[in-house]
Amino acid sequence: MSFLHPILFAAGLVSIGIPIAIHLLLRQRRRPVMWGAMRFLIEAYRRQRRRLRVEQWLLLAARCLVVLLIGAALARPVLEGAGLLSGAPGRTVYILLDTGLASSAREGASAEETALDRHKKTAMDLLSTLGASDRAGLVLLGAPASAVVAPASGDVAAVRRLIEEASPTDAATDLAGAFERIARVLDQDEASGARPTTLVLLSDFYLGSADAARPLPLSLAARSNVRLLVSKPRGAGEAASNVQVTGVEPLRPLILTGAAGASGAGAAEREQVRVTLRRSGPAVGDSSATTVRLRAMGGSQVESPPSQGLVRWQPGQVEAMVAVPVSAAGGARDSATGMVLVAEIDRDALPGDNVFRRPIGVRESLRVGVVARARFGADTSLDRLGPADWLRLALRPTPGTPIDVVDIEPTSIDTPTLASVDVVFAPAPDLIRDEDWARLRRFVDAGGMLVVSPAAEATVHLWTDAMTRELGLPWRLAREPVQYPEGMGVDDQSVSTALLSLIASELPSLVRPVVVSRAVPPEGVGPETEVLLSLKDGSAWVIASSPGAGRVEGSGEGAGGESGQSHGLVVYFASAPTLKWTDLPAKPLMVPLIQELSRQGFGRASGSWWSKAGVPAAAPFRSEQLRPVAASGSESGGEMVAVAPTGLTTEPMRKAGLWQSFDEGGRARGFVAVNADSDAGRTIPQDPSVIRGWLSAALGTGGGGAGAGERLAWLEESDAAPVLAASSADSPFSVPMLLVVLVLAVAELVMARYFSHAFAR
Amino acid sequence: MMTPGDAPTPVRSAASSAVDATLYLHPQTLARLGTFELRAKMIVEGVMSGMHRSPYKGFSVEFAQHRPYVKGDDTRHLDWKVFGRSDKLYLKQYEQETSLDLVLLVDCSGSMNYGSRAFEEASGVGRKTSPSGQPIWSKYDHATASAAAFAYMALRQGDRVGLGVYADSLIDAADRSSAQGHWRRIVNILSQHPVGRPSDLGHVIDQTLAKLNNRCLIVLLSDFFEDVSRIRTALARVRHRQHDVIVCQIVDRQEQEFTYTETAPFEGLEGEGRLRIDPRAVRSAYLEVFNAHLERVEKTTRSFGVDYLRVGTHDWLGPGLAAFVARRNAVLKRSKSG
Repeated sequence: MSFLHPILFAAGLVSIGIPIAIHLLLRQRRRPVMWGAMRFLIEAYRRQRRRLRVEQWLLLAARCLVVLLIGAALARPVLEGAGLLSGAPGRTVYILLDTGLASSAREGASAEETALDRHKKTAMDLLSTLGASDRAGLVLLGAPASAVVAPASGDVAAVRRLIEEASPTDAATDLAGAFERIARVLDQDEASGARPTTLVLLSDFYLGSADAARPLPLSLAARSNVRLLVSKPRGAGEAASNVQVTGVEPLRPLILTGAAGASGAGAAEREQVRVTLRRSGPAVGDSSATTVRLRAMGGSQVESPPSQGLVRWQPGQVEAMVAVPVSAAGGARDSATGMVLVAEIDRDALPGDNVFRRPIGVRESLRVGVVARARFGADTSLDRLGPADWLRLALRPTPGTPIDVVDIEPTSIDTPTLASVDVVFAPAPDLIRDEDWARLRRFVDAGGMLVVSPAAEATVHLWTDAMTRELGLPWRLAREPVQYPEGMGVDDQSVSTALLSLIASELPSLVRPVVVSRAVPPEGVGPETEVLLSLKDGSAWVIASSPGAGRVEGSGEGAGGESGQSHGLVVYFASAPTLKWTDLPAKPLMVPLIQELSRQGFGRASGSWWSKAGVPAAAPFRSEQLRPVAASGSESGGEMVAVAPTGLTTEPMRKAGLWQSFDEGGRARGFVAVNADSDAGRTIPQDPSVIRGWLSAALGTGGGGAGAGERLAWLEESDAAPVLAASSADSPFSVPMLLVVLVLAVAELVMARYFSHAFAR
Repeated sequence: MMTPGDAPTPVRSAASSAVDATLYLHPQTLARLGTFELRAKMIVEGVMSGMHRSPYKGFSVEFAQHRPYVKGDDTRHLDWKVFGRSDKLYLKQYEQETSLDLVLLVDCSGSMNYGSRAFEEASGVGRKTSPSGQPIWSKYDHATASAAAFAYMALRQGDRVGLGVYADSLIDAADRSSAQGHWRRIVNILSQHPVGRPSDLGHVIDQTLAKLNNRCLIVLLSDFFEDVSRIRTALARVRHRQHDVIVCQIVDRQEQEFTYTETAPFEGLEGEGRLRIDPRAVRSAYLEVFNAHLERVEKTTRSFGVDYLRVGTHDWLGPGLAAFVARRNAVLKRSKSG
């Protein structure tokens, strides 16, 4: 049995305690009567005891039943299989309301009504036709689908209220998840499983909401009592046009401001940012222009003046990219919290994806540690320079270079030291102890970058085992170097530009003169390892990969835009940076290679924390919670979001926005951005037959056969109400229950009078 | 004359000549009196002053023989019946009675501490508690008032009086004596308070009989809330030793009527524990059990030829005293003839 108003029934259930409490309280209150003839009273009670107890229990039971039944009658019970009494069994209706990004589309820029508003109205009309014995459920489709009311409830009024409160998300439409949830609910609720169940799917079925190329799960296919009522897809003439910002890609994920930048003295360094746009809908066939405004926002709530870029759309053009310079000067640069690039376009039919936020790191300077023994005495002849000397020269060729080099003794690699540097170069790995490799692993896990090259003086490289084991690397190293007596050139054709994008154009010409005479090449390099430079014999020469074991995968988005937990980066040079191994240190490639590797590598290692709506967002290392940031950059009064130890938020983020992460001590850890799922914003109308086939396949009636006609029907939004005819007008149990209450109340009065023995002579 | 069912009589001075003697036998009158001594005196004087209306006149002298009338004799003692039959004047001669040993046994068990009448209401003079500090006129108060009266009367006749106050055994006792200060000792013992233990009449009778070597009149003042079989055994022993017995069973009106209406916990005065009941629900069963017990006690006592008196705490003491006087005379007559 279920109830139309379960709360009232619960109240009745709780009220049973009232007569019991009165009964118990009355027991406590009376003062004892001191009685002389107690032996006769005990004897009399002993004779009457059984009868008195029965009387008391009967009276108490009658009183409790009266209270309970009043609550139950008011709660309007509905018994499963009530058809035996009323002739019509109750039905179950689930409203599947599309609250994905496309549901906020307005037809025409001035339209007030969104797609979601229309669907809500349709849902209301449908629910108003339900009878008292019917039940309604609600599933919101904004990814991940949330079963707001499931199993279905008899409290239709509450479902209506929840529909009223539904708002569009910036995530995709998760119809597959909704089907799975409902199938699970029907499996668990045996009573509902037997009732006729109608799923009312209300969506515009834009390409962003319903990608027919992705088949739906067959979880509802075996349920013949489940019927699907579907709103008709939006026609081509009614579809909304949408332009969206799909990406913001700065050339450097990390900005080094230098001393002048930190002081805010106006070093208005202009960074180039690539902004990608995409458009969909009927306007794709037209030529138009879109203005992109880009601004940098810092943690100190200071924004840089916006820069503008203009995209001129050609007819039929869907995607475009524009490079916009942004001035990240002054207060917008905040080395504590980083900076956020905010790209924005004019308001259109779908406002949710008109803004894209991209956090980037900001540092006054990069601190690079070089693990090598200190050398005493100055010997500046080139053939006497060791690997560490070459690295120091490459890292800081001029005093103005914003990279600080820190010398680290191999025997003093400790946690405080590692915490003070961003990148560690290890040109003498044979001097590093096993336990120090474990420390370096923690350093990398926390977002640091480690660059390792073979020990220049060693003939047998025994350190490789400890390194690959502790760092959990997916490749291994040989113990003896490969000699190239004739010298081996670096392949200028197969260079990866992911980490070296800024020197990509010059890289082939820079690589060409480099000759390698000795190398400890990596073995077993898989696809998860990025090969930056290779030798001409095909062996990898410079590779980069993330530590393997203990890594938590996230849902990264785009190159460098990973929101996963790939903290840290390990780069391996197969040759020691000394002239005995390669002439690279003396070539022009050395400085830009080391500089870019350090900057871009650390930028990638420390991460750029943004994700698309609909999934748990990844937060910087050691974050405990996210606090929303208002458009102005200040903290807003919105709800905080907890961050799990995995680094992901405890709940999926359905709305786009900007958050600031804080650690346990309340210190800001950086910005976290959630952007609208750009794929969900594709307002491309789809043919109804495609949608019908797609949904029919999910019901197991693929091909649109006779079964499909029975179980899937289009819903006319303008006249949806008659589709669901009202069933029984009222609960068949309320009136009988009230009659039982009346009879019980009279019985209680009689019993109370009789059992009190007040009339006894 | 006031009957037991009447309302309490307004207070009048005991010294008033117009005072109704029976007033002295009412509990509410006795309740005004602070000491046992005073109570007993007033009870007895009340009985004596009302003697002209009492059927028990001449309790202190006994007929001995006739003798011929001689001039100067008091004509009040002429036997007119003999004169009617024989035309001869004979004078009735009376003998001074021999003394009698009276033994009073007063129950002071816990159940005797019950009473339903408020002392303040009973006294009517503003006194809220009895001299023992109780706010009620209890069965024990009634029993001690009666016992004191019996003792006072007996001592005035020159009888020896003994006293025992008991519960499950004799708690205090006074040996038989007719000495001048004996009255004071009896009053002191009667001022004992009831204890919270049940009574054990059989044991007490054994203790008492062990001290008695001649024939006595034993007066038992108790509510007899114990097993009838034990009462029977005790009385059998007494009768076996050829003692005379008067049984005064003292009960409270509330015990006889049980008119409580509110559900409440009832707690026994003899440690029976607490029982929460609706009194209306068990009233009929209780009255059935209680009355059956009273009847069995009465039947048992009468089966031994013992005088049985059921005395209510709201009742006056007249019938008890009258029974006592009658039984005393009968005992004396038997002892003289025997």
